[in-house]
Order: sequence, then structure tokens, then C-alpha cells
Amino acid sequence: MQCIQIQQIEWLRVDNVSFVVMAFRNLRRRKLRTGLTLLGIVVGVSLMVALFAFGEGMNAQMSEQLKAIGGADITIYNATEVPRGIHFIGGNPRENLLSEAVVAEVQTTPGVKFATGIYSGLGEVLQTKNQTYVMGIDPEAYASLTGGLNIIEGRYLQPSDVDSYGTVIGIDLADESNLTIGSHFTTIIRGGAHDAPSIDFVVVGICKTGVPYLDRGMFVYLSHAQYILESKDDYLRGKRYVNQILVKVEDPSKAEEVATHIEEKVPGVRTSLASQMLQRMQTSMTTLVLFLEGIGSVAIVAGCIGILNTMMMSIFERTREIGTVKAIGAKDRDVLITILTEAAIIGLLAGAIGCTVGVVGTLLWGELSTRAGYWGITSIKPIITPVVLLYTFGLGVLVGVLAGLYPAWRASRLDPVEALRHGG
Amino acid sequence: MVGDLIVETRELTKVYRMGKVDIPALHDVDLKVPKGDMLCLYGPSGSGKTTLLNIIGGLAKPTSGRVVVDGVDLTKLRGNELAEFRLRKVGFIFQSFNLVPILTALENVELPMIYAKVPKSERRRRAVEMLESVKMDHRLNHKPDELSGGEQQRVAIARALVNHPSIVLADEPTAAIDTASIHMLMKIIQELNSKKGQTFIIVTHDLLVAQACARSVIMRDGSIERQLTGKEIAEAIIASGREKTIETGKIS
Repeated sequence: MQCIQIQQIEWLRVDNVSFVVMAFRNLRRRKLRTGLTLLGIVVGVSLMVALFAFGEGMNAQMSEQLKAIGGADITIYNATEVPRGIHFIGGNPRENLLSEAVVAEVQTTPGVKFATGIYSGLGEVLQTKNQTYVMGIDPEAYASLTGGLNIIEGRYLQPSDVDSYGTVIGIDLADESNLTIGSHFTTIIRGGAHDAPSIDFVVVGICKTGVPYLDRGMFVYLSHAQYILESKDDYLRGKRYVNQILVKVEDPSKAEEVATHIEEKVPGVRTSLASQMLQRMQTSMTTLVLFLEGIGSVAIVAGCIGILNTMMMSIFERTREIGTVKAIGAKDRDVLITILTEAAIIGLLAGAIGCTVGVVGTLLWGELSTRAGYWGITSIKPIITPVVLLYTFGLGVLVGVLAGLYPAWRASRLDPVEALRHGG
Repeated sequence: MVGDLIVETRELTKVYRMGKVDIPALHDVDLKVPKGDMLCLYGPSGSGKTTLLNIIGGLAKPTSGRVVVDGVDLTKLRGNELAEFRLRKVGFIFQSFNLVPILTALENVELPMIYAKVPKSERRRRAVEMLESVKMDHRLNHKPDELSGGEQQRVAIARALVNHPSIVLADEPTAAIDTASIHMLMKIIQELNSKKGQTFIIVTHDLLVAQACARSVIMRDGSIERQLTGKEIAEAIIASGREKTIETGKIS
């Protein structure tokens, strides 16, 4: 074993440094072509990095969102709502509403332990023009359902906040709008006119949830959210809405039965079981990952063909040179290594550049899209793991070597006499 | 001296197959080259001299017959054994120099030693020495495209000799360089031949080259027509005029 190692090191030292130097010079000899070939794989590799990072991010966010509804066994929406996720991010907060009376109806359905309504929608901090996600909740019920918020400063909502307009804000909103405990700010519905209903809140707590839109969000009493988010007409006529009801059942194994009961009892609602939601998420994640891998693979295959093409052209142009080195004593293996080294270097460079571009691009994209204030899918925080980087980098190198195999084999098999006769 | 043969061919025949037509290139060639010889293969194109050279150099295989170079029966070698043979026993010099364009003069001379796995320090030392002997030590770090034709060919000679081959085979080494350089080149080859006893076989069209060689084998239609000394060729040039002699390939 040791003997083999020593031999390999010797081989590397004596030979391959020269092969590597030669490979680099050969690649430099045709800079533009090498560059374009690199670009092909760089695009593929960086795309892979981005896709995986966003896939991971989405995965993480989904489980965070799932945590946000916490122990809710059933979620109830208006039947007209198209499920977009767990909260209706980006949806119009004045559409697909459920009357607050429905909550009471659900509450009395057999098998329901308790139910709580949530009214949420996009709002705006008047002073800073920052967007925020207003979460109108019944603090006590919400806490017992979800296990409470992760308060990092101040305190959670308490009944006195109904009159004093206390709010718990997400950490990102605090940072971006420069808010601390005790700060006052005004919130209106997003895009609201200057006379839109507004409330002056005071910050009582700051929370960190790990869900991007909740970390830019604010938790308030349900009645405050209704005042801000409902249309003036509805509000003045005394209509009170929620857009989501979280339900805890007595016996989780009978959640499906209870859900059916609710749908029969309350017209116009659609129920969604947490277990189903999890399943749906997993299915959509699997589909997504497959889709991303598909796109990435196509890009990588295209890059592979690029290297193959470059190397074939290169050995064709160097036919006489290959004939010469074979005539002066290069073995088939020497020629093979020469060409393979070049392909491997392309792969290595492409892998390294691709990963760098991928990481920078992904972080930039993630940052810009959250800054721009889009909600929903674009606000996913990409997660770049070392495994992803290693995988994509390895893929780049592998592609280089694989694409180099055939040209290298062809070159090594050239007949020296024929090759020497080749023009150029 | 007769016992010390570097090259011996017996009834060497080579037939190229082009589609369904057989094209004979060599026919029953018996050639003996003693050690230290400086032999010229002279003849019109298509006479089989390059084919003969390629077979002696282990680049091509004969259709029939035997070829022994420095005690090695080439007809028994295959693929990588032939490559090893070329590496250790043969030095090639080509018409168009065929230096590797990405390598400097020094590196080009080192190249065969890289394939021969010579340690780096020794590689460098031997390459420099070799370039000195072809008077190219002032251009060690120049790339081929920065050298004149004659200079490139001198580097190629150094490359051919650096692994201490038993024989150096040159295919039209002067065809692509100017007359002044030809003289210098032939002088260098003659010196390497006389001082170091290096055996050369040179394929040429050029009578200037032929007369610089000790011996010439005149080839025609794949066979050896006759053998002459350099002196005889020189006399023939004077007698019949150079142009005509080259055209007919006949020297009387």
C-alpha cells in the first residue's frame, strides 16, 4: 500500500506537473474557446447551486410555516381560496374572507377542542414605507396552538394591548424600520390612500420566527387587523372577518372526520388537514426537486457537449502535434493523460467558478428579492449547504473528465504516421 | 564494424491497401546500416524512402520481411512496446520541425525525457547540454514561433538526440529551410556523427545533403537501385548538373 502511494507521488511529481503545465498552456493557447466552453458549464453549475439553494430554502420555509400553524390539526379557508401556502401571502386581504361568526360555528362542532381565527394581510409602515405582514390573532389561542412566538426582546401580547395598541414585530421589520421596544409607528393597509384606516402602534416585543414574511411581520390583536385590513364599508357596517381558522381537535386520529363535519355544517368553507398539508408539501417538494434537477441536468449535459466539442476540435487541430509526440516516444497513456488533464482542468475551473457565481448570484438574488418586498415564493431565503457546493463542484469536475474521455481516447489511438501527414 | 549493425532489413516489403487496390511501397529491401554510419536515402517521391524510414523507426509495420534495429526485432513489437522502442532507441527529425508550439526550446528538448521519466533536474541539465551542442543555448526560453526555420530544426535535432538514441532518422530535414541554414545544419549533423559516433539515416531530395553523407542509398519504385558514397555523388553533381539529377534520381 505504502509502496503504491510512493510510486503515485513520484509519478505525480515527475510527470504530472509537466502535464498540468502543458494542459494550462494548451488551454491558454485558445483563450476564447476555452472561455466559452467554461461559460457553458459555469452556467450549468451555478444554476444547479441556485436551484438547490432555493429548493433547500423552500423546504426549510415550509417546515417553518408548518410550525407557524403549529398544533393546528385542521385549517379552514373560504372555499373560493386557492391554496397558496399556509397563510395567504400576496393575496388580497379583502377577498376570500370568512365571517368571524364562522369561528363560533366551528367551535361548536363535535370533536373540536377549540378554534381561533386569523386575519392577515399586507400592510405598510407609514413612516418608513416598509411593507409588513399584519397578523391579526387571538394571542392566547394562537400561543396555545402554535406553542407561542420566539420573543427575543420585550414581551408577548397581553389583554392591555387591545387598548394601548401594543404589537409584537418581527426582527427584520425592527431592523429595517429602526424600531425598538417602546417605538411608535403607524400601520395602514398596503397601498392604502392617505385617508385609509390607520392605527398608531407601540412596540411591546420583538420576535424571531425564521419565516421571512413573519420576521417582517407584526402580530396584533385581531380587532386591530380587522380595522386596518377590512374595507371601510364593511367595518362600519359591523362586519368582522378572518381569512383563516386554525382548529385543534379532541382526538387527532379523528381529524379527518371532524373536518368532514365542519364542511357539512358550515357552507362555503374548505378544510385542510395538517397531515394532508404535510403530504402535499412533501409531494410538491419532490416534484420541485425533480424539476430543478431536470433543469440542472439539461444545463450540465449541454456543458458536457461543449467540452466534448472543444476537445474534439482541439485534438483535430493538434493531430500532427499528437503524431509528433507519439513518434518521439509518447505512449498512448501519455497522450490520454495530456488530453484528459485539459478536460479535467476545464471541469475544475468551471466547477470553482460556477460555485462562486452560483453562491454570489443566489445570495444577491435572495437579498434583492426580499428587499424589493415581494412576498411569497420570491422571498424564500436560499440556503447554501456545503453538501450542495461539494456536489455541484464535483459534478463540474466529473463532467469535464467524462467529456474528455472520448476525445482523449481518440487522440491516444491516432496512428502516428497518419497523424504526422496531417496538415497544419 | 560489420558485426556492429544498427539496422538490418531483410526482404522488407510494404503494401498499402487503398480500398481494393494494393499499392506496393517497398519491395524486398535488404539494407544494412553499420553503427556510426551517416546514410542518405535518396530518390524521387514515391520511391519508398519515407516508408522505409518509418518502418525502421517503428512508426509503421512492414507487410512482410524482417527489420532489426539495435538488436530489436521490430516485427515482434506491438503498440506501446513500439512507443517504448521509439522513446529509447530512435530520434526523429521532421521536415517541418514539428516542435510543440506551447513549449520553449528547452521544454521541447525536455519532452522526450518527460516521457522517459527522467528526473527534472537531470532533464534540465541534459536539455541545456544538448542545446549547447547544436549551438542553440542562446535561445533556451524562446517558443518555436520566435525562432527561424534553421533554429527550430536545430532544436528538433537536440530533441531527437537527448535520449541517447541508437539511431536518428531524419525525413527531409532541410526541405523547409534556407541554403545557409542547410550548411550549418549539415555541419552540426556531421559533427555529431563524427565526434559522438551518432548514427543517422537521412531521407532527402537534396543532393547537397546527399553529398554531405558518407553513403547514399538510391531508391526507386520501392527498391534499392544502387549505393554510392558521398564523394561519388559530389562528382556526379559536377558531371551532370544538379537539376537534372534531382529530377531523374539517376546518377551515372
